[in-house]
Amino acid sequence: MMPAFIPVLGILGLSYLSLALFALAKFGHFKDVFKRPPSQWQSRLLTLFAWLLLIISLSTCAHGQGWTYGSILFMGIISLAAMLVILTLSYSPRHLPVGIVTSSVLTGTLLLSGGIQ
Amino acid sequence: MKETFFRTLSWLHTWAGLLVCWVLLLIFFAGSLSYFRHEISLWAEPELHRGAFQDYQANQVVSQLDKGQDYIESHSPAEAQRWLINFPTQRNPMLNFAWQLPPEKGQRRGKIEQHTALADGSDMITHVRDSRGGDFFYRLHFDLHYMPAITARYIVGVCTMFMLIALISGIVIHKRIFKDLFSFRQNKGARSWLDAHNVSSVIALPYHLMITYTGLITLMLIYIPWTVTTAYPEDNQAFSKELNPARQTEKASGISAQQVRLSQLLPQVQVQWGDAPIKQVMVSNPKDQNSQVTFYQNTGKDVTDESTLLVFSGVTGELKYASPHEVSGAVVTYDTMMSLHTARFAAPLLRILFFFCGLLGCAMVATGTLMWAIRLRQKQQKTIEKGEKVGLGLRLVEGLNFMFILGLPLGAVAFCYANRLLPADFATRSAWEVHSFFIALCAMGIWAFIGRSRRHWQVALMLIGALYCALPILNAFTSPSHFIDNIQSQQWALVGFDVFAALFGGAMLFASTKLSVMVKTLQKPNRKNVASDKKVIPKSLDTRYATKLATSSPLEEVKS
Repeated sequence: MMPAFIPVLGILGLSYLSLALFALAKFGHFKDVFKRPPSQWQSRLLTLFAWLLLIISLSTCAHGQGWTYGSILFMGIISLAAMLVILTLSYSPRHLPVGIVTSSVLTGTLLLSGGIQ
Repeated sequence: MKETFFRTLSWLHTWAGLLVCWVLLLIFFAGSLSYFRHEISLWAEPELHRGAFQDYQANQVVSQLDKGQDYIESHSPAEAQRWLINFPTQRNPMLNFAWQLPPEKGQRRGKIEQHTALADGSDMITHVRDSRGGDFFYRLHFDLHYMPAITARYIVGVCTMFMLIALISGIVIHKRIFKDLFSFRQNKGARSWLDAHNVSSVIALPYHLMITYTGLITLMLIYIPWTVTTAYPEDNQAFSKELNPARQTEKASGISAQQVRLSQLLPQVQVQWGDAPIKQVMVSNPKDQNSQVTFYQNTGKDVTDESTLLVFSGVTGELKYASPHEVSGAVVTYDTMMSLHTARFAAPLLRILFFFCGLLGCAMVATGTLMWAIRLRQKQQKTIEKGEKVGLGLRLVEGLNFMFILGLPLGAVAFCYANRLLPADFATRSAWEVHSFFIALCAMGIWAFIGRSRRHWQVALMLIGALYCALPILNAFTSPSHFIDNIQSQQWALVGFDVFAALFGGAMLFASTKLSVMVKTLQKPNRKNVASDKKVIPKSLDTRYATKLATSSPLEEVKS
């Protein structure tokens, strides 16, 4: 049997990705990371993708765990993901893209290998 | 108008939060630990750490029931009021046979004598040290201690109400919730504390609101009893009977009767439940005409606090009641709220996340109180510089911060040490475990009298950190199975206990070293008095985060 933490890890990756994009959509954080301000359409696009990913991560969680349990679990995961994004931004903003790539690769691998249903 | 509205709410937030903050910290801390109530209890009974672990095995239920019934019949006294057979669950992986004696004078409930079967079935563990384990922290978070439970519940209720007010007013006055969601500016003095307060509040805001509100709901019948007393003026029992018919047990008739074999009831249970696992079988009034047998189902991850159960006559074996009965929307709502608060349904990962959110709650309260102390000190800065005495209010706030933020973790670790170091057959040992928690808390209070400067925080943090780091070693010496054994036997509750203790201790030590660097760089004579604007965040929320805060200059103006 697959250990219970694997799907949760995938959802954590998705949530991290989503929240990181939310953060990047904000002027100050974008500037911290890329050393230049975002254009307006960049900001909007980031927000749009962030929302999309957030919805995907909630529905993945709900799909795998049922809506009742899944939505409660999702609230916990999103808090942890937010904490991780905040830590990245505060102590090493330049590494946020690294975090984004890592979580994308992680989530992608898990999705392809059927780790998350 | 708008300006006054915000100012008023700001005032409300400050005072509603601060008046009760230390009690709230205690409640949050003990409540967070209660998520691991059973795990802590397991740790506190090292006699059970070897040989007793087993998983639920559906094909063994018949023989385990037979064995349990025979064992209890031959070992329990005739006056036992209840027999209990507890099957292994995920959180309590053991087979227990137990019986409850009639309550002694002045007690509400009788003592439960519990024996645990070895996994190979060869023998029983009959003697386990007397400890309250995780139940202590569970009770502490709403019954407090050293006072009647009902008084404590009123106190906790008032504090919770204040907490709810502080949360809601906090949301209103925090104008930039989404804009500043990810903003944590380090090394910015009071600004950093405010950021830390905001971050710990906002990222777990749904949790904070949920736990505070449902906390009030769990005890609502104590706080607002009049609806029930109006609808059921004569009889309180009638209300609970109507609410949950299964909870009513008939009194013993005094006429003895032949007890039905429990294993003979199993086919009927399977008709109702299929292969769902059984958590507990309880026989009330054994060998009496009014004997009842109740089967409790292990409901696993269902978000409910209600037991799924079947009640049989203990003499004829006839099915008398099956839940879930028809329930109203109100009852379902109440049940869902209760289960959200207690999180009994949570599997290990979700449980850890609940715990994490609980720690964020501790951090929220602690950063709030520390910020208060910093602001008070800023206000008094001029008079302090003139060489006048620090005001009583400020000394009190700083002292209580020191006492509670450091004293609670110290108390918890003192409890663990007392559990393992007090002699196992010492008569009042479980009481003394509890006393040691409060002795440690008071010790930090006395320490706060002596001094609360950065230096004192640093030494205290080091002490507490070292005690936590040594817990796995203590466990290795005072329990039959150490860390590696537990990994091998896959006892993740015990492994997790050690890991968490080491992590938390490490975080405290790290914070302490950071502070000591800071103390060295701040060796100015007039800094001696600058007190509690340093490290905190009582739990291992994140060390870097906490300690970076510690390196901030305390006397910066708050820009909001």
